[in-house]
Amino acid sequence: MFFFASSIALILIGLYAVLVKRNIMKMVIGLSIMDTGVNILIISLGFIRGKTAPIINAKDLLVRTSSKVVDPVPQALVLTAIVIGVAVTAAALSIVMLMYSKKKSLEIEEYKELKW
Amino acid sequence: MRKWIAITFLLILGFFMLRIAGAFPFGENTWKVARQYVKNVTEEKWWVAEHYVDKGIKENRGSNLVTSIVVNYRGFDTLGEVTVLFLAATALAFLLSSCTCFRKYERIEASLILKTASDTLYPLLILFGAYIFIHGHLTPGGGFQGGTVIASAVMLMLLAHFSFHPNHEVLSVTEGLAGIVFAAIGLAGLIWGRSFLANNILPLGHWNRLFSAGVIPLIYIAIGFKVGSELSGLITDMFKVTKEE
Amino acid sequence: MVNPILIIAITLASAFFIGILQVYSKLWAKVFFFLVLIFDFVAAGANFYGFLSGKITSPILVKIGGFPPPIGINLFVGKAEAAMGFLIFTITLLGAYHLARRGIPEPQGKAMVLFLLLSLGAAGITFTGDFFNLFVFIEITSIAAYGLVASAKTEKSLEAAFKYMVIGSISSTFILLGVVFLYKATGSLNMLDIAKKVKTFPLTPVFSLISLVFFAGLLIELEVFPINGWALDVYQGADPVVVAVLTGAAVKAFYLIFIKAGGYLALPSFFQLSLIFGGGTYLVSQFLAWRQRDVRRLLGYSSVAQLGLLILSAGFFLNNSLPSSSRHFIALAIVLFVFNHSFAKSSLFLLVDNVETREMEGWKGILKRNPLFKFIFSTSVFSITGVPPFPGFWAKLLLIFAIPKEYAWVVGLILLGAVAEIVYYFRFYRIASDGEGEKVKKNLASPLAASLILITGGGVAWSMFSGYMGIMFNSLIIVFLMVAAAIYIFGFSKPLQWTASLVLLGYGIYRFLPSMKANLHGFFLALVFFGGAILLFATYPTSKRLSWSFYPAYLVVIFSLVGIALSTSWLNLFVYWELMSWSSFLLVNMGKKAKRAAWIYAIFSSAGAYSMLAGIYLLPKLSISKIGVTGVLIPVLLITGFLVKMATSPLHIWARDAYGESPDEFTPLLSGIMSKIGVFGSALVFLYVIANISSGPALRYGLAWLGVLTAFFMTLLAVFQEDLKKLLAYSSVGQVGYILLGLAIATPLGWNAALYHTVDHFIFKGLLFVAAAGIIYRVGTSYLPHMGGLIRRMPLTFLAVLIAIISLAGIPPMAGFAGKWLLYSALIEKQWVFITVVAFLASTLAFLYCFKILHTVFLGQLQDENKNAREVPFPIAAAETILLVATVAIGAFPRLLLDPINKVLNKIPGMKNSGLFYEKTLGAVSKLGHWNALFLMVFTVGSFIFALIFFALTSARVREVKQLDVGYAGEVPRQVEDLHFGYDLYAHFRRTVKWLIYPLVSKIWKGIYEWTGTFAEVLRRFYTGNINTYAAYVILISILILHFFAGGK
Repeated sequence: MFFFASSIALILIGLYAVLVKRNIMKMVIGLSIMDTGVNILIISLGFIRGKTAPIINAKDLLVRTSSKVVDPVPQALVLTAIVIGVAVTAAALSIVMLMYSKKKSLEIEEYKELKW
Repeated sequence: MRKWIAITFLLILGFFMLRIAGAFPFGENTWKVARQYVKNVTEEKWWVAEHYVDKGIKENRGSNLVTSIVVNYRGFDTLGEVTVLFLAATALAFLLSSCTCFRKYERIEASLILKTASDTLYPLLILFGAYIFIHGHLTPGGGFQGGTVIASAVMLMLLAHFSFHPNHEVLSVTEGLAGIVFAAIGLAGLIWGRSFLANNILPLGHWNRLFSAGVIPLIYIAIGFKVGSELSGLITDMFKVTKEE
Repeated sequence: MVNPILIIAITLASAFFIGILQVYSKLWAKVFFFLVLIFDFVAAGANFYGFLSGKITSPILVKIGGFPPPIGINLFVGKAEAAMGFLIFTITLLGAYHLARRGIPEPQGKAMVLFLLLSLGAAGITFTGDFFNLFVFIEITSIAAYGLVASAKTEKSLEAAFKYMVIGSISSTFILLGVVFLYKATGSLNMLDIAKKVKTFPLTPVFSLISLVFFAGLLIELEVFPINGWALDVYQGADPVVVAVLTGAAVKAFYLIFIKAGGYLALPSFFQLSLIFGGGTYLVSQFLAWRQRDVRRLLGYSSVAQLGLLILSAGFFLNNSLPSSSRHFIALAIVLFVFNHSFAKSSLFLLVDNVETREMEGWKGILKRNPLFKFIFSTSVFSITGVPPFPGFWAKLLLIFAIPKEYAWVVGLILLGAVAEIVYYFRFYRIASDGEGEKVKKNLASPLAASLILITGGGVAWSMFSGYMGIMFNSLIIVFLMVAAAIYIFGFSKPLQWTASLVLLGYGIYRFLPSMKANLHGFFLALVFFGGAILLFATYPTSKRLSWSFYPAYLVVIFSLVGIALSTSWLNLFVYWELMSWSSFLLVNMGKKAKRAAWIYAIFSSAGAYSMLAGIYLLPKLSISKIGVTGVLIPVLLITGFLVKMATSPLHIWARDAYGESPDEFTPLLSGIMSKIGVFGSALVFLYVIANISSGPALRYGLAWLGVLTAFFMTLLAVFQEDLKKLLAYSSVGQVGYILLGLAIATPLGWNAALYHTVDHFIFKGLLFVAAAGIIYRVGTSYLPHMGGLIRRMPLTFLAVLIAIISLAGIPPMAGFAGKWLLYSALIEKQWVFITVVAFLASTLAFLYCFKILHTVFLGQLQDENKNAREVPFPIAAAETILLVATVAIGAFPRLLLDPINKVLNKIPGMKNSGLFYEKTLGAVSKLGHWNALFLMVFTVGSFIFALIFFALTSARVREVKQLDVGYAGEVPRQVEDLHFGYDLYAHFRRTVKWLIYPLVSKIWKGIYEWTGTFAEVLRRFYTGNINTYAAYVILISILILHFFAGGK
């Protein structure tokens, strides 16, 4: 439960930055934190108490494997999720860099041209 | 004011998320839990993970089950994942290509320690990265992890030396080729094997050996190259715009 | 069949390959890029064709890695997916071609990769059968979209991309969480597998919450109100070509997955969710667009609204409690909506790309100098707003008639939104067609292709619709409509068009002669055909200066009128009605200063038509026959549509300018025949609906008041009009008020009066408008103070107008008298005292404007600038003569007209024995009296000739007054007009009745428009442009979704 709560807390902290911070760079950092929270949540959902990692490098793991290892699927999913998070962050950073180069400002108030 | 509204919203959202997550008891074998409260389950393999775990070795011979899933069972996701990374690198290069408007940075010369350490670590890191992705089907880690390690080596060099310029063309061609190899292995499966990305076009070999698990290591090596060159290219691109024009 | 995996794998590999190729050769990269897109297009097309032709019978299931479904990832391509794939690649190809012609942004290789991967992502979302794989493809689409939205690298586009990125990340986080929780709950990621398990699953509240997390993410991507600020900013800020592909392809893929997931996850509250968010988005966005000045943002609001409608339809489609036939219809409607919106909106955004300015004002008159642009623009706008025969129209009909009656309020909402949509789209259209604008860039190939696809789709949809709704459209009319379209396409010279139209009409008369039976339908059919032929004939002399689409539109109007008159089903009638309304809109819009008038006409016509549609929807059966309905709602809704066309007060405010400013060649038809088809419709409503309801008498009494008040006020307004056509317009509207009054009396005598007046009014008002066209042709203005003394130049026209006016005023011996006589007889018989009094008053007032026409146009001094005016050209004179002879003949022998009317009435139950019979000596006799028409005619003509002789003998004593002689001493002239003897002829009277002619109704309508606009403008501030706020909305709405839609606690 602690893992759930703390990973959700991470997600919320990330979202808090998106909701409240006026600096677009901080918002991107918030998104990154949120991603991390989600990843931890996924991993902790796959955890089974007292089981080992899903790497079958010993003979005794070959029989009745499902009762001995944790759920490998969330780990596989999280691998994908991490990479996607990185990709989004990279894209976001490039947009932020361009934005900064145009207006020399990271303040969100400067970027309200499109509205209504 | 704004802060408190945001915090209220987020706490409520957190409550709902916790409610959902809390419905799955932490650390318990949900495969069993689910069976208890779902009636009329006739299929033997109700939980796909069971299949992966129990049949994974037999079907793929890769010791690392996560790798089996990532590269084979859910290999299509990974192809997409590679694409996402490629896409991010492309988007970044696309957007920053004409970005000349940064003020010039007076870059401080890197310290001797950094320079020396980087020079020493650079080949080692690349070797280590290659090791990780070559053994992806046996040990923790794989193409992505290995690629990242390689990219970190490049980053180290970029930090240490002004004059370090990874050849952008080579990086582009490498990432493109690696991607094509991945897709081509998939298509080979379609032509000679069961289906797209099928793992029956090469002999599976023996469990826990380097030469085993069919196409999995090949794909992971391609991914390793791809991720390494992509992330390196990405970092280089970002360095480029901050450099004096 | 092409394996869908090939489409994805080859596209992916090609994207990588372009990455390499662009290093070496830009040209080859481009060539390769298009080769891949064409491959995708062909492959997706082949699959879709396979499904359509029945070669592929079951959905294609691709097992990636060779593992059976729950184990491995699989692609699932059924009919819907194949269609969507084809759509995606078609739109992408169009967009890419457009982009290539305009210039792909640098560095080109990267841009092409992004473009390719955007379409690939959308296709992946469509094809995949696995939830996590879906997430991956959503991310591919999103990141490609972020990059492309920012591709213009302007401040606006970057801001849009950033907002998109932030909200998109939150959305995909929700989707990812939903997917992972789904895995945790069901142990599977495969969509079909989860769907199967959900059926055996006890649907706990937690599972609902999980689905809702997923759907919250999807709803953000689907741009529902109020969490769509980012989307609007993207529409406004991004490169239009990118937006075209996004809204045409990517968003539609999200929509497909929304439906699929809705079906798989079996969320109990899915219906409520889609109803509230879809319906809310639709309605709100249609209004928010009202005052929008930025064209791109306007189109954005429209896209969002259309998407809302789609979400709403999805809710109905997945609602299991609906009968399967309804759901089938809704599925069809969804397909048509998606098709319609994708192509129309993409085409519009590609057009936007050709215009430099963002502001709507910059579009002023842009259509005038760019004919091809105009064609595409009109097609797209008509398509989106649901004008027949475009697919949007059929989609709307299919959807509405599939919604069960207990959700009638949803239909109301849809129609209300549709009216709002017409308000702002045609405001846009009005601005774009007003005046002469600049030439635009000519990158029109892609939008042209899109609009041609739309037109084809419309045709297909029409035939499909006829099949599904069981309505047979008269094939001959369809053929005629096609010929009209052919005339439009081939153009020809204007006189040739005129000839062809006349020949076509003549052939139509020949073919439809058997249908002109002695019943209501046949009666109006004859009126339409013969009247239309006469009026069409009179358009010849001016034909050369007409727009090349005049005659085709004219023909469409006439044949739609024929279709209306022949309809046996309300729905069939509605289709022709809309066709007639919109083609006449085009005709009105051809007037030089008619743009605003046409806009108001479009709004009122469509609002009326939608009101009618709502009535038809509520009817228990569609055939035009006795229908047992209760309640006053249905007849009121139905008749409102017809009253709009009759311009009955308070729905009349479109009429003055639409009549006054429409091309002179068209106004006779508008007044003479089109208003009469409103009479036809009203008669049907009176006959089949109002006659059967308990509150019928009260309703009829109310309508009678409406009719007589219309007659009174419009006559009053006509008196003070200084523009010939506008004066006639008010007069026309007022006269149609009498017809409504006659119908509302609903006694045989009343109907006799109504039908008589229908024909009679066509004759004299057609005559007057034709004469007006001739006069304006010669004089060059319709402003009365610029005329005068034309009696010497146009004696024939003078005579014609004189006779027509006598008829109009209802003075014996002309045809008009009989109508008035019948009407008053009926009124007195009915003993509606007050109405009778008002009707008398109105008739008396009519003398004033009748005299004004005659006096100001023909009498007095000839103006200098009209010295060279000649008699009207031959065809107009001929038409005048025909109508003149008809007036006199019917005046002398009213039985010419009364006999057929009695035949018609005898067919109608309850209308037999009209209480009117004939005697040799007395002429027509009713219970209240008699009149002998022939005697009157002889007597009056005789006295007239006597007076003429007397006058001729004494005319030597007449003094000629000078031009601009002031008629009223003591007036201080303020402007030139004041010096004209005919200007403000009734100034004293006007001052007396000032309080009566206060433009209350137009002020009210204007107020409604302005207030709604202002309200929308205030509400729009809700989109603050601040991304923090947008994110807060997203979180708030997600919380609300999770709280209210989760079901049992």
